[in-house]
Amino acid sequence: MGNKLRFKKKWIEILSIFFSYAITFWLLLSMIFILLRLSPGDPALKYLSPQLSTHLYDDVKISYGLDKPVFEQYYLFIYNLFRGDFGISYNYRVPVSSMLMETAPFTISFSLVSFLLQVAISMWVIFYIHKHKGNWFEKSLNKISLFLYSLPTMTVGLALIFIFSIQLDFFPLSDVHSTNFDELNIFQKLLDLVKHLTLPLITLSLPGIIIFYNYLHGNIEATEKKSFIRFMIANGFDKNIVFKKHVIPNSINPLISILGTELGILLGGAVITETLFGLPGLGRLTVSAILTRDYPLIIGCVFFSGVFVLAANFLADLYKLKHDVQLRENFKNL
Amino acid sequence: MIKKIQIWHAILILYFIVLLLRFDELVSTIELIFVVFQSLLSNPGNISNIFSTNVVDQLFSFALFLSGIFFVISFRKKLDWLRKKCSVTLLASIILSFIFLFAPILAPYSDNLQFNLPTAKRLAPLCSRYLVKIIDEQSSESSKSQSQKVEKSLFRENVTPNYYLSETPISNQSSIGGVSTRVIFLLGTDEYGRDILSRIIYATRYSLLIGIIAISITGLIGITLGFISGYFGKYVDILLNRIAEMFLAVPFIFLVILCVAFLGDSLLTVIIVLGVAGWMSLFKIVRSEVLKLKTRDHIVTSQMVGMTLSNQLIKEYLPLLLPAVLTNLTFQFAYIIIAESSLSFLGITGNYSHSSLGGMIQQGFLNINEAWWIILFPTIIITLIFYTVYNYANKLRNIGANQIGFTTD
Repeated sequence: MGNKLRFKKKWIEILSIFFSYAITFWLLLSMIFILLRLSPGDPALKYLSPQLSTHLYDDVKISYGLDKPVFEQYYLFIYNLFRGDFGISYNYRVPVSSMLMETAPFTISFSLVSFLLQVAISMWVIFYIHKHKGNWFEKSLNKISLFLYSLPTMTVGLALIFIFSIQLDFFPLSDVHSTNFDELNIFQKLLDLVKHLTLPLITLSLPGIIIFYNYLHGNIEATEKKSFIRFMIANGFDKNIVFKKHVIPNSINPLISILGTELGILLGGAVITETLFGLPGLGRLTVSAILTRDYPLIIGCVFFSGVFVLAANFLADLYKLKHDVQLRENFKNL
Repeated sequence: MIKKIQIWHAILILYFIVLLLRFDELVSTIELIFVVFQSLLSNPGNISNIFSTNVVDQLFSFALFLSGIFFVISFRKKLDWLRKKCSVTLLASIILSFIFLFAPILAPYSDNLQFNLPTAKRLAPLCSRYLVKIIDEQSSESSKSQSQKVEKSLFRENVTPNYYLSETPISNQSSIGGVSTRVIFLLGTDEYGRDILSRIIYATRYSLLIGIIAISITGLIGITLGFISGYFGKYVDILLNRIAEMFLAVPFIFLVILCVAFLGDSLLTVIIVLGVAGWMSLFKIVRSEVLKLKTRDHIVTSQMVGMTLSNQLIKEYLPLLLPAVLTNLTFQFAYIIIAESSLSFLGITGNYSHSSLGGMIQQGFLNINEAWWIILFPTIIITLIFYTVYNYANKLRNIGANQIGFTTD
């Protein structure tokens, strides 16, 4: 009986989180619609011209649905977005949804690889520093890290391009793979991809590595001061084992909770990185869309990135609900 | 030796350098003041004509410049902060505030002045050329008044046959009366023959200005909404929280892109959008602090005594909120500077007429093979700004965490 009740309570918690995210999602849609309405100019107005027939303006207005009342337009807007119908891109003359399907997988996998790299490298640095405490590397890292963090993303990318692509010719300048990609065997394909994506990944990951490093460093220092760690070390446990099995798991937990925000930062960084390195992703698509005033495409891109970040936040919240004891206690008290 | 340098020493050394390098400009500014007075006395009707934005800008920064010297010299014994030891961060912030306050005096040329292309295109840093000024007595006397002449020499925006750059000095034997002075382009020129030093100075000033206005908007919105949400609670709280979550769901750059796409990319829109896009974190901090403070005795008392809501916010809450708010705003300032420069790098904003740091980097990107200096110097400035501001934010956070006991995370 008690088991069943607990099960029910858990579902209520998940549902309440889901419900709050649904409201957020609805607000996001409304904001896009309001901005669309606020934007100056009538979309049908460009069909009003002495050379064209006088009926055309009205016909276009009816076909765009602009003659309907605002609430009906709003309903239609949301209905269409839920069906995945974002309209047709002004520039490319292709449905926006198919363009998103083409570009989104690249950006998502690119961001995920970068995220994994960030976690892996910052963890490695943390382990290294723990082993060699107090050497020059640790001392200089604190000062260098802030300097590296304050370098703007675009300049890091530009400097990498200038040094490694133009001067030394180690890596190709842009694009994901070479023109003769289809003729290569699988190892050559892999090598080709690695060659093309090394510089973008460094550019995208650098600020994240520093954020993670600082975050973890602070957390670990705080955890090491706690009494249970001191107790273990005083009782003669191996320091390395204590560090790996007790300090790290206790300080890494909050990392999950910033996953959503971190993904947002990654997507933002991807805008610049993709533009710099000419990668066919969501970010470059957004920039080209805004430069050509391609409204359906802009809405599609923003909608997609919003859904992506919301989903990541939702998953992080679920994880927290499962693992964070304090949060669970709060829910019980409600 | 270096550790003994105090802040007022650093400021006076900087003043000395500026006086040494920009003496001509200061002299012609004094000339401008006389001319402005003259034309005011002779023709008081057209004040709006005399005080154009350029003139006001020049005179204002000149006044600041002079009063700055007197302030530092006369208050160096009385004010404690002027006698602090000058660290790297402090020196950087003094240099940045020099650029911000005295931009028209520091910049050798106007930021849009294009020299004649064949001689001035992509000059490397420290290149020197001859600036030829031909004084054409007849045409200048007949067509232009004295004030226009002085103004033109200060705010020149285009090259004329009487004012151009050449590789060799003009010979003395020539019939036209002209002067050729040797000028050094400290940071080189870009591909349109514009002086990079002047462009950087103006761009820094604009990006700092954008940052300052944007964070004041952020502060206004964040504090007000956070206070309302924390104070009233219930449905207002839930609604505002959802709205904040909604804004957080869209990545910062995407949000700004969306707003700029629909509302246009004028300077004002960019400032407002950058200001509005960052209110969420401040809102959350203020809300949680207000929730904590609400039950304190002196605040409950002030409520019972019958203080109005705005009075309560300003007199009771704000002094306690201030450290947290300041820390957050300083962090946001750093991010706004970066965001603005990356937006203008992408070409999304920055169609306005002044120079911008991101725009300069983008332009350097197109000429990366021929000219490395176009990218390098704006980058240094952006890094310097971010580094300085971020350092201050960290310091503020540490002070707050140690003494007051709040956290911003």
